[in-house]
Amino acid sequence: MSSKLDDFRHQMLRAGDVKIHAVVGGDGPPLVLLHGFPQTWWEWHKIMPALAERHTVVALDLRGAGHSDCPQGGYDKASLAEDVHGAMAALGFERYAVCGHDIGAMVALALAFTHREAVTRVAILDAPMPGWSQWEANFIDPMVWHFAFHMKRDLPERLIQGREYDYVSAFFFDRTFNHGAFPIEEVEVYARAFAQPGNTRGGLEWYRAFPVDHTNALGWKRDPLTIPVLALGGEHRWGARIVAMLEEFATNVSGGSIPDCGHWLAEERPAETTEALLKFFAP
Amino acid sequence: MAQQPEYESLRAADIRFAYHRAGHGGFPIVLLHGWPQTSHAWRRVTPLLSSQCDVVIPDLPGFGYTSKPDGGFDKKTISRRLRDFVRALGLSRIVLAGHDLGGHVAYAYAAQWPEEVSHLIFIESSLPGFGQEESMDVSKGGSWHFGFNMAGDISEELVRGREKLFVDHFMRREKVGLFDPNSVSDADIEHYARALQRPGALRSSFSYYRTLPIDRSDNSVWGQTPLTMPVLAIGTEWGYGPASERTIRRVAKDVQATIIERCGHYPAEERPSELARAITDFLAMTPSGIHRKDRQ
Repeated sequence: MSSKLDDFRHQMLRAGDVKIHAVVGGDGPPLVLLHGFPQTWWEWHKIMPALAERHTVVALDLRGAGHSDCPQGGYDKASLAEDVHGAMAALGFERYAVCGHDIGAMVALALAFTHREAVTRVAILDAPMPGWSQWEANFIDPMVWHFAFHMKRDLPERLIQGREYDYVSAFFFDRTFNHGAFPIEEVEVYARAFAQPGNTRGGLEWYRAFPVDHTNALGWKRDPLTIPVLALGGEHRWGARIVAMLEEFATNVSGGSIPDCGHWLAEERPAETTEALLKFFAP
Repeated sequence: MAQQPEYESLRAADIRFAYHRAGHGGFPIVLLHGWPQTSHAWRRVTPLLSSQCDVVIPDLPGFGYTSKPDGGFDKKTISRRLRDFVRALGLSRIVLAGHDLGGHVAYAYAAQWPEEVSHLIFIESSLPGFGQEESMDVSKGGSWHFGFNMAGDISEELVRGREKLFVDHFMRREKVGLFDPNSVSDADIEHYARALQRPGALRSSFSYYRTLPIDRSDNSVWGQTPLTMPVLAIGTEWGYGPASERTIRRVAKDVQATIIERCGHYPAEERPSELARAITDFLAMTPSGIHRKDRQ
């Protein structure tokens, strides 16, 4: 699989006033993959080669992560979606499919609403959506204690600095069913990326924009999406609940639960995730 | 800098209590500090009360120099341990004052042994099950630290070695921190930070939060029988304001309340005279039922 991953090419794309790092490969209708917290494009590395057999796959780093820029502002999901649209335009793609996980799923949904003309289908993997009827109620779930912590300005950066591995590993170890997916070297990939100057702040800014995201999404959902939407949850995290959640935003939702899986679908259950995505995105 | 009298130690069941004691005769009053503090928080109030009261100021279990037990940080257990200590001192009926999480312990004590608490003084605190939830929910303007403190080992991991940054943040925080940021010195902040650096201190300190769900369920049972002793709720203009009064009125019948102005969440340190006067006025107004007991 790694030799196939070697066929992908890394590039920097200009999207508005930021540079976005993208990893591109394969042939077929374009599909952009949007990672979550505390990750980078690398979260897709196990499934990119199989997806690339039928799609032109674009795995990019969101604003604030990996090798993409980490500017002072613009971390609401509509702005992140604009970055993605700009990157896809820079690659010459006017219409494309989108798959997002965690924060990336919030960006995917924002992109589908703000660029209806461009997004053909959207897959949402294991995340709560701003604008969801239970969005605010969910804040008191102890599982998402980090929402409030990340939304606190400045202090989290000071507490996390130098301890990025400990911090990042807490998320993987608390939210994983198949721990075979996260050997220490794999966690270190994300920890090192998160420790890059600006990336800790960038990742936290995604959360600080939640109030804006919620307000925006409440407006968007008044005119639901009509494109096909796939909603997949890991059985031991969001599970099939995510289908009803997405039905608040779209009229054509399918999906369900990936068994024996925590929050990290593409890494814990790559075969099942690939199969579901290929089936959903098949032209 | 005001100093407490020397520490004394007393074993009560499985806990070694470190405490200060000042004054003779008058009202026996036990002052409970909040989080993330120690008995040091009362240093400016102790001399103002000691002419009229027998003042006892313990470090709560897990804080300062009192033992850091493996478990039992729910306030039902903490208050039982505190009562063991109070009885070991030879006191049977006390005025009980608690600030912040110390207020949770004081309520648990008063609710379980109402005949042993002549007066309850509830300072800048909000009870689980009776209003604290608002301050825990960031989607409703609450504070981030409840979830963080409750999260598990990661909380200790992030704060270890950064205790001063952490304490300084809380005492001078933007929302409810000190009105005059210099009313507490860097040396005082260091004092609390050093206490948190002791082995087990962060674990114990966060455990007071990790047990809040247990406290909520205990409070919901106790709250069905309102307290009947006189209660004084003290809020601060720049702290929780009227929240202390609101929460305690839901569990007590005889409540008086006051707000200390130009003061953040830490009145014992920022407005010690006003706080001491509020306490002595309250005791003078409602002395009935007070068990006066000279120090043995």
